[in-house]
Amino acid sequence: MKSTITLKLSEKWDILEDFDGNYYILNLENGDYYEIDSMKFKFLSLLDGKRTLEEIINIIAQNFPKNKISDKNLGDFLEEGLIKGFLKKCFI
Amino acid sequence: MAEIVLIHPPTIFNPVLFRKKFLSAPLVHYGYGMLYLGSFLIKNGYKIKIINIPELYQWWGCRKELLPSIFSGSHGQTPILFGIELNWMHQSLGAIQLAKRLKKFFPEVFIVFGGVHASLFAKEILLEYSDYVDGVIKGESELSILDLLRKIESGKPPENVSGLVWAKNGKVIENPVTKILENIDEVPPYSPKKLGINKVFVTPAVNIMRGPCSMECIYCIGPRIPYIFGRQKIACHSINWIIEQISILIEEGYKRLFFQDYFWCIGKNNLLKIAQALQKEKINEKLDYFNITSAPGFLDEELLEEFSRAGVDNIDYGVESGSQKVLDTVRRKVTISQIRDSIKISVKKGIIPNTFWMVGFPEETVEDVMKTFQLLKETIELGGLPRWVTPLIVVPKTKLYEEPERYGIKLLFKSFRDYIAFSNTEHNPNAWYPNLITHETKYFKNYDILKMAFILRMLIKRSLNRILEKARENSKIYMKYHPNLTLSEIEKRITSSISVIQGSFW
Repeated sequence: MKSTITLKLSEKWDILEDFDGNYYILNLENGDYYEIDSMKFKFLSLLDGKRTLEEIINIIAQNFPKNKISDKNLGDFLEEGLIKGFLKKCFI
Repeated sequence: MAEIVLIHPPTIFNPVLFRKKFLSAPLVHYGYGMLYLGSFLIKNGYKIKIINIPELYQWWGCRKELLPSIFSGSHGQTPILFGIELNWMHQSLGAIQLAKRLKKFFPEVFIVFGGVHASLFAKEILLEYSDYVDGVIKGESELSILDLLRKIESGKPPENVSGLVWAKNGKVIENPVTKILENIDEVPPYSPKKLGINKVFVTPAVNIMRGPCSMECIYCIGPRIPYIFGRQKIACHSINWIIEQISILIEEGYKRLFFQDYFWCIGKNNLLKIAQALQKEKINEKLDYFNITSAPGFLDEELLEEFSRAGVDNIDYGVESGSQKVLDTVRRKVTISQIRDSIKISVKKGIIPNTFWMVGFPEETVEDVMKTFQLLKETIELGGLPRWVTPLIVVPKTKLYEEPERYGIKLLFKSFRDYIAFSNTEHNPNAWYPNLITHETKYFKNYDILKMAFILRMLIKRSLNRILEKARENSKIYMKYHPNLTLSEIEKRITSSISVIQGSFW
């Protein structure tokens, strides 16, 4: 059976929304954080290690019809996540 | 003349590790109890030497272990007593390590601990560390230490020394508190120079009163003072004594002052008298910074006007929470409308209102934190300067610590050893200390408390420009009352305060 690579949020990171609609990705080990926009927040919240990236992109497109996700922006963000350690690869 | 060495310990007794460990205020700052004790002992014929070890480590660039000779008295004389200040919980480990080292080099010298944290854990300290800690004085120490010194000088055991906890043949003895100074003016105002402190230290505090806070907050030690330290009622210094204390500090070059005790509980008439006496002495012309503390709602418009004219240019308000339900649960007798009014009136009267916030209270939910978030924003619009957001630390011997089940919390810290974590945790620039959360509540685990504190801190950080705008709007009022205050000084205070908020745990 062929497996597909997808991504999920690393266990030591969490995503957080404040009461004014500001979004963060937060390292639970040391408190490091990055501010993110609502689309990235939604994207990260959907990364459960089960959905494929294609499925997630479709959901995002429905939720944010005015914001187009370019392949380059998505690629940069995923690469950043893997380098900074808040994303990790998994197989489904 | 017999000599006594009083020591302000570091968080950890090692100059290299000290720099890496948990950083918080007040590291270098003396507890004024030790300064007043020194002053009292000088009056009673003793010679005093004060050593500030964090200062030696931090500012004098000390990189090696301190030599035993540092702790000798003048001319190499062996002191008759070492008094170690253990006022704050983050001094715990450093105080114990220091006592161990001193006992090694001066086995015959009596080593006594004093201060709030030592008082709270007096018995436990003796049970565990009596090989090198000879005693702990609970509460106010002036009369007790005088009795203790007389016993030591006459070679007698410290029986009946008021409030002393000590060990005899492996058994811990707790002497009851039997002596409290009736007239607290018997303790002379301290002179840093007479105490041998020649370097002007951060911001000296002036003692106004002793005794319990009139609030009943379940997380604070203030209302517990009668039960733990023995003083049942508030005692105040006379106006002349307060003026003399402030004058000494000004003469010795201090330009910054603060009142840090529960002075706002001493009643309106007493407060008015103090403010008017300060005005008469033109204290406002001699200081660059004058800070007082109050719970919101205690100082009315008239008092704030008088204190502003007396030179007070900023005030610390413990707002704590924006949820009335939470304030009521923790028995903090303050209303949200009093909080708003106190901030508004302070600005109107030329006093910059600093606000202090907490999360992790019993019964507090996400909705309650949202109310705190909203009130924080509102206070910024009213001219408030948010200074600190801290996870609630359950302080030993408070109501909350004594009755955790009643308030629906689970204590993660109980013993003296548990609280040592505040000494040896490594500094984190994001103030992210999961291991220093002292409890869990019905609704929040330790990481939830940290996340809520993070959200509030980020709000403050994002609000810097708005806080500066409001300060510029209000600066004419501030400068009208305080001719020494400039807009650039106000802006400097705000930016430096907000810049450290991210890394401030308390």
